[in-house]
Order: sequence, then C-alpha cells, then structure tokens
Amino acid sequence: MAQNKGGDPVQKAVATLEERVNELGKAVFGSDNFGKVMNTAVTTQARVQKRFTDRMGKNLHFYNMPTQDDIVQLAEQCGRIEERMVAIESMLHELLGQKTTGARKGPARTKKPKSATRPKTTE
Amino acid sequence: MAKTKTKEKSTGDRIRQLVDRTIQRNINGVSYFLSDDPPVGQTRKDIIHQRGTLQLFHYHPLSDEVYKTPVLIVTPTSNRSYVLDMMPGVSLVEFLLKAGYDVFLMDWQPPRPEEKKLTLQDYTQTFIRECLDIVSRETGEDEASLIGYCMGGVLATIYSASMKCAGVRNLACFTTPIDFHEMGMFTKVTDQKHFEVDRMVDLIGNVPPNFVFQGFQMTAPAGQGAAQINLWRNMWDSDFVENFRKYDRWSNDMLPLAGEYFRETVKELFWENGLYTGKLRVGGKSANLKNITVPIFHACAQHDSLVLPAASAPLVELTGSEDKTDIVLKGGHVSLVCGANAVGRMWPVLDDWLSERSA
Repeated sequence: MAQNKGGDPVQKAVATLEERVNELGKAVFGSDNFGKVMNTAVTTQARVQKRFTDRMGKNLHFYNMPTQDDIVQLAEQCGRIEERMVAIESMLHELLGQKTTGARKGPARTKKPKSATRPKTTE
Repeated sequence: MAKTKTKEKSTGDRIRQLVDRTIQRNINGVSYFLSDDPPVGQTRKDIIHQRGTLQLFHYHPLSDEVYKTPVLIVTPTSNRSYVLDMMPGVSLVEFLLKAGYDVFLMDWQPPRPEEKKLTLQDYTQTFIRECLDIVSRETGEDEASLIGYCMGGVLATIYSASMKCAGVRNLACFTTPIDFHEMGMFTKVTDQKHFEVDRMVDLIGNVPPNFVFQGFQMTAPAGQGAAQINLWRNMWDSDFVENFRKYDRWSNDMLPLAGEYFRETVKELFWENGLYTGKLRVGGKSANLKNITVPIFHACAQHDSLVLPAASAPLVELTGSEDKTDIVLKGGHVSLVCGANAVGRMWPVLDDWLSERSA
C-alpha cells in the first residue's frame, strides 16, 4: 500500500503516514521488551484456555458426554484408517497397472513450447 | 471569455462528480455492510483427493491442447488457496489453464485437533509425494512442475531437496523464504530468547489463526488503517469495492497451523536457520538445497513486507541446478501473485519460463 504514491495529495499523505507508523510499529514490536511481553501474553492466554478446557472436560464427564479429547482420539483412529486406505488405494493402483493406463481423458498433451511456435523473424 | 466558460464548466463537472460519488459511496457503503462475502475461487475444478487438512484440486482444462508436464501448485499453509484463483481475469490458475497447462492445486483446510501432530515431514515427504503420485496417475506423466507460493514454496523446496526431486521436472517458487534470520518482524517475534514455542504448542495444540494473523499485522501495523482510508475514498467505485472485499476477505481468512509443524518451523527454520545453512534434515533425509538439480525459477517482490527480499534471495543461489532464473519484480507479497501487477508482470514471465520446460 505504501508504495502506491500517485499524484493525489491525499493518497500521498496517507502513504507517507502509513510508512511512518509502520516504521514506528516495527521499532516498538521489534524490541526485546515487547517480545517478552508478547510471550507472556501468549502463554497466559494459552494457559487460561487450557484450564478452561480441563474444567469443561470434567463437567462433560460428569454428564456422561464425550470431551474434546475423546473426540480427538476417535478422529485419530479415523485418520489412521484413512491413511491405511490411501496406502491400500495406491498399492491397488500399482497392482492393477493403472499408473500408465489409467490417465483421464482430456486435451491432447502435445502443446509445443512458445519458442517452437513463434514465427521466425528474418534479419 | 472562453477561458472563464471552460473554468465554469470544469467547476460544474467537479461538483457533479462530487455529488455522483457521494451518492454512489452511500449505495456501495450500504451494500458493503449488507451483502454476503463475495464469491472467490470460481474456476471449475474437481476435488480428486482429500485427507484431513489436505485437498487436491484438479482444474478443468481451458484449452484444446495442453503441455505434457502437469503443474502442481503448493499453497501456503497459513492462508486459503483462493488467492491464486480470486476472480475471473485475476486468477493465476485460470491464466495457466488458458495458457495450456494441466493444473492441480494442494489446498489446505484448517487442521483438525488430532492433526496437531503433523510435522514438516508429513507436509512435504508424505503430502506432496502423495499428490505427485495422484497427478501422475491422473495424467499418465511421471513428472510435474512444482509451483510454491510463500510457505508453499518452502514446502516444495524442502520436498525437492530431501527427496532429490523425485517426480519433479521443474521447481518454481514465489517469495519463498530461505534465510529465516532475515525475516524481519517474524524473526524478532519468534526469537529464542523469549519465545517459548514448546510451552505454547504443548498447551494449545494447533496454533490459532489469530496468532498468525497478529504476526502478519505486526509487519505493517498501519496497513489496515490505510486500507480503510483508501476504501472510504474509493467507495464510489463499485469495482474497487468489490476487489477490496475479495482481498480483505482473503487476508482475514487465515488458517490455524498444526502444532508440531509450527514447533518444527520455529525451531528448525527460524532458530537453526536449517534451510539456509544446509543442515536441515526432514524424516532423516538431508534437505540441503544443493540436492535440487531441476530447473528452478524464483520471483520475489521488491516491496514485500512479509518475506523480505533478503530472506528469499539465497534460494536460487544455493540450489545445485544449472538452469536457474531469479527475478525481482515491483510490488508486494500479494500483488506479486494476484492483481493487476501480477497479470502484467509476473504471470507472463512465469509462462515464458515454464512453457520452454513443459513440453
């Protein structure tokens, strides 16, 4: 955005202001102190989220309902089945020799490079 | 006399234009807030493979004759793939199809909670390998051209380096970071001195999109504000508003990152700078860029605030290829691949390069 400096004075002013704020932002966000604060904030947020999930899990167990962890475990099992299916599928394709014959019908794969189709110029 | 008349006319025109624009601004302003998200990714395609976070698209051909070598595009894991298929006329995918390429694209969905264990090896040696096999099966061709954008370029590069370019005929990357110590704000935010990536991933699993989004925002903190001012000033222009909405939708539509993949990216790429130093190992295999021997093309943007040119510059230099093309174009991180800048600058250059190596 900042590099878009046309003749319009308002546009120019916005671009200049944007550049300055970006420079200032980079100086602030790039400092060690900001990094420390940012890390503390992110970790705290993650910890709060984890505690909330744990608490919620206990409540769900109390009501005989699956927690997110239970669903994740089920999904992991499905994922493993999916993985084996992919492996079986590709083995079947190899066994049936479809690698060379199973290509879908589509346009002919005969297009020539641009240099081959460009008319030759005479000097 | 005549001069005064012209002046009067021009003042009248200006007033009329002001009134017209004010009316149009109100109409567009109301529709901006009331209408649904604009349609994106409209080029016709089939989803030919799905596995958790991964989807493989095969686009319907738009030419009567295609090049022998198909194209497999690897998109960045943090963003939706429709940036490469924004709208008719502004779609790299559509451009490639019309130019005669058979196009496949790896699209990422938000990783499920159980996919937090996905690693760099899964994204490269498993997913890319799997997609190359499917492309080969679909087309009958043993090799494809890999195209990677941003982090998608990193994945394509790691795959090519660690698998010695198996199934790859050409490698084309756009704004692909290699020297992660030159990633500006990202390098600072993930600094080993204070960023506890282990604790973060252990606590939350997959990294939420807002964390990644904040990281992007910090590279240009005034960007959003300036964009809103520009939107207001151009609200009278329906085309501008529609385009703005599409780009705005994309830039806010970020994906979570798989926890282990994020941990490895931070440790191996940002902290150890493994791709740059050549020490990166993925799945027990060396991902030294010297292992890349296929023709390589790299385009980076002069005003890229996300992947600074210094971060992506070493890619071509460090590869073992003999056929290397490295270009720097005007524009930013997104405008390099999408928008008027891309249509006129990058796409034709890519087509010229790829055309000679795809028959």
